[in-house]
Amino acid sequence: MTDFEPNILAFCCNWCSYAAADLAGIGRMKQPTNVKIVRVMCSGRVKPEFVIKALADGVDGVLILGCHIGDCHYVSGNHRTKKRFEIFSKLLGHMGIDPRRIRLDWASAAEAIEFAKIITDFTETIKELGPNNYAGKHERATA
Amino acid sequence: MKYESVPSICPYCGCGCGILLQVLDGELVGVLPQKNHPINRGALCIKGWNSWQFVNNKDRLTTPLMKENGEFKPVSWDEALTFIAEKLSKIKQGSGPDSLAVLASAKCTNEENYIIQKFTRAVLGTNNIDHCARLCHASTVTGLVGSFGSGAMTNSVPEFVESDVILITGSNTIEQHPLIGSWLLEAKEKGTKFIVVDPREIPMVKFADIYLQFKPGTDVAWLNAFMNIIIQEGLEDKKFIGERTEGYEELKNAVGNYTPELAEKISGIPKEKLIEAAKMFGSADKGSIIYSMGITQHITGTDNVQSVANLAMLTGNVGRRGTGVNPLRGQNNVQGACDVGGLPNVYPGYQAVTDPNNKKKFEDAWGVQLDDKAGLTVVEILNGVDEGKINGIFIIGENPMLSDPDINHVKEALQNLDLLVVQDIFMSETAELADVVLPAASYAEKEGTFTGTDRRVQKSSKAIEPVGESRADWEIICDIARRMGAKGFEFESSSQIMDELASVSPIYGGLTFERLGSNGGLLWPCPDKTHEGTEFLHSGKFTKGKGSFMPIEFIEPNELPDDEYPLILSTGRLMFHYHTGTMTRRTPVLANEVKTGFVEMHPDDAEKLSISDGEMVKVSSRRGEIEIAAQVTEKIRPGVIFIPFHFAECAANVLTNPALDPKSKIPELKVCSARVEKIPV
Amino acid sequence: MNEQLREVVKGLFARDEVEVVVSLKLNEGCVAPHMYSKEDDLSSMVHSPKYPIGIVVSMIQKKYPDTKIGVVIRGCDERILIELAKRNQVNLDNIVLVGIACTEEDAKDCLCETPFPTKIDIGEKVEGITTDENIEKISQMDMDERFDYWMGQFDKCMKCYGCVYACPTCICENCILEEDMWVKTGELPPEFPSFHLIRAYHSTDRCVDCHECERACPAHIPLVTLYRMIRKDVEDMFGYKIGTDVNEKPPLVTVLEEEG
Repeated sequence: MTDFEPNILAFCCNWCSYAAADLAGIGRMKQPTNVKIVRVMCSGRVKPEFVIKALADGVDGVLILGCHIGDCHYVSGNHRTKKRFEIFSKLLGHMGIDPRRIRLDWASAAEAIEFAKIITDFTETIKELGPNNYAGKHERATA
Repeated sequence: MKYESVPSICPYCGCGCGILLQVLDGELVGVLPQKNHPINRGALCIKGWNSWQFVNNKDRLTTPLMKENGEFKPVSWDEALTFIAEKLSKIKQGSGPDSLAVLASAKCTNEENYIIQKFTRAVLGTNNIDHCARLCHASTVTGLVGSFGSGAMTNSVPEFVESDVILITGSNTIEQHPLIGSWLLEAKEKGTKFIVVDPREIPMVKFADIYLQFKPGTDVAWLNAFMNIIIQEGLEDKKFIGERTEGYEELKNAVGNYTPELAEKISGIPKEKLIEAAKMFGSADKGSIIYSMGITQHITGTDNVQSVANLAMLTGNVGRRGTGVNPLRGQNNVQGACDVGGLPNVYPGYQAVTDPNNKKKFEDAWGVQLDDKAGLTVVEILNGVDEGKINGIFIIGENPMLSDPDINHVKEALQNLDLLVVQDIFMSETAELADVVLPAASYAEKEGTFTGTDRRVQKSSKAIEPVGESRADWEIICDIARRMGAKGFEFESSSQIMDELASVSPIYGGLTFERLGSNGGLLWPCPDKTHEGTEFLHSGKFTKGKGSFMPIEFIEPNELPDDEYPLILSTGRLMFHYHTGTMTRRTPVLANEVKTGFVEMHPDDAEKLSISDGEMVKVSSRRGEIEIAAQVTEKIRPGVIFIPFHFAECAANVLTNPALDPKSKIPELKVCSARVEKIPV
Repeated sequence: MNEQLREVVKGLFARDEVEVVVSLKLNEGCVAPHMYSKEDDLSSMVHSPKYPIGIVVSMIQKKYPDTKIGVVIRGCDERILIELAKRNQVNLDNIVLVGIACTEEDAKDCLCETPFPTKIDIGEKVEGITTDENIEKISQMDMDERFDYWMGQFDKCMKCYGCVYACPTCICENCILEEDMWVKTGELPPEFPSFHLIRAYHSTDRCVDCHECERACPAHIPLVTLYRMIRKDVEDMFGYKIGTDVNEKPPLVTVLEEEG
């Protein structure tokens, strides 16, 4: 398990978290390289279907990073993200998919340090959980 | 302002699911499953849920069409029918009644098929009538009539949950008969064990206790070994064999040579697994066998069917609930089309045309002279064109240009006719070749009965008016018959036709529209008006008296792989499409699921040819070639490829072999030799 | 009960409270949704087995928005109509409800928590069922066991879309489940866990526990168990009770401040 390098997808919103990621990069902060960032206009753009697709395609963990509540560029986009995320996490749990594989967090454009910490923490968590074998398990069972 | 739900029967497979056509102000707007229906119990498959979609499709034929200088032009009914009546009479007089042939339809109602065969026999004067049952279960009818005396599914669908072990071979039940699959899944949950024997890893394999993958065309070999093991283990039902059957010693001698080792060599089934499966089936109190085209579509189709019947009798699994030999029929009315005489050798109710008593009975009933020799079958009719014996063909609701083996030959034959009439709901590939095309009403636009795979005769009601100028098939045929001066075609309703059918066909003797109702109908035989119908056949006694064991030797398929054509090609259907696709490819949801055909091949074979998944390849056989996308999958055996036959642009039947089973005349659609090649860029 | 039902409907017609009534008709042994008008013989009207009648009402109302329609409903049908009204699929102002209380047997059959409508015209109210053994069983499982359980269930799926078609509150014109992007087309069983996870997520704020999906499932998958688990979370987390108040907005479309 120790040499497992997870494949992580992060959806970052254009206005806050993507800027935080940028800043973390410019600041040359130490952070794991497992994360691939997809830039979206708002965390509210991230339909749960995106997360499902990622998990079905074998991504080991999915991060959704938006502006802090109250700071959303579109006023309430992230409110919806939060509610959706909470209920979606529950659903994953009911179906036996560990909800720790997905995480919602906030980072403002200035929070480069926080951003790097979220990435590091989440990568550690996913390393502990091991590879996502949901789709694989199914294929084996039906093959 | 009017909304109603009209009870009908799903127009797709032979399950016989009850549907409710949703009609708002005379317009068909949807389908709901019948909740208290004995087969589908409130559920449907994707085809059933969408079975209303094609009815209103813009491609529906709405007016009669006649070909003039190679182009179809719309004509009046009067013009079209007068032309047909005159032309048929002329051919009949010129080259004799047997130069005409009719293809009936497993999509038409029982009443319509009755009229079609009556028209063929009494008006055209020939027994040259057949339909697509020839291509699916001709060997079942021939085989089971020989073994048991009746060619139909012995037991009813709901009985599957009572079986202890079910042997499923050559039936992709979940995909082809989804609502029977539903009963099987329920049986599985209740503890029934499944043995699945199939060359492809079909969805049912996941639920199999034992799965045996084998080489297509080796059915008799493994079945004989299976029986040999049962006898060696002393698991045969001695009481049943003694009291109910004949020919056991001959069977025992015949299967004795088929050791598990030999079966492994021929079929590729590991002997340990075959022994395990045989013991499991042999030990079951209630063992049921389900099969379909994997068994029937071979030059040894009748042999295969009779081997299955041997196995059922050997283990005493006939004539009780939850047992039996259960061929699943593919069309919603293929059972019915056979029952009411859409076959060249029998009158309605499987009464042989060659029997003088039957001939007399029908001559009296219909008031005409009849022919006492059996007519030609589907493939023989087309071959008859080459030989100059057949000059005119009337095709109703069939599409041989896609469904028959060796399509290139079919096309040639159909183009060489003096008269080709096609009566259909869409301009099919076959209709394109016709001299006259007649627009028929769809199932939703007429009343009539359909007989499901388990002999369940059910009434389907009229929901909407026929689209355009289209007319119900029975009305069209009656009109032509009257124009040809015939008597006995003055019907005013389907119900009246059923009354006549019941009067001449003992198995349908007790059926009337009123009795059939709209909730599950009745299962034949139903000989009189007080009879409640028959759930399972051969109780206490076989239809023919004693059941006959048939000693059968293994024969190789007609075409074996060689250096030139090294692969075995098998064909079949998909969950999301149906036969020649005329209905499903016009249904958006279904067309969206699977857009075109593909050839399944094993990764080993693909690697040898450097073919990758999704690549367009050329598949050829001795009869033709097609271009098709490769689907590389481990669900198929190395050395075997599979192509669904729904798709005209990459039609599997360009490749298939028209070699016939000598007994039932079914073509060997399940095995031929083929080659896959890379297409040079 | 059928006699009583016919009497109540006769009364509605007599007092001109409605122009038509949507109920069930027994026709040659087959029970099916049907629309009766004033002149019709009501002797064929029955109340069982239940059908997703909300779908029918919505369809009729879209064509005849101004007609007063009587609808014979059970508890679940009322919840359906409320959810449909929230999404502009029916107009409750032009609907007169005739309420039937389910029998104890019906309630047990559905494990229904609220087997009766707000206003009962026919039948006696029976207590709802609040325990569900299957949920308890799954709650005790660890993540892997749960995954295996559902994988076993969804492996039976025949992709008939019956759960979608039969669902009275599934109202999208184009279903995302048909899109190859999210669920690979043409595969059997459908892509796992995508198909059923997406469908379950979409049911979170609209599943009224009517059991139509499960009844329509040829593979006998316990869909209601899953949807019910997530419904309970919606109730606990957002205090939102599906199908009770037509003015209450679904929680997934509101902002955080509006809550509570």
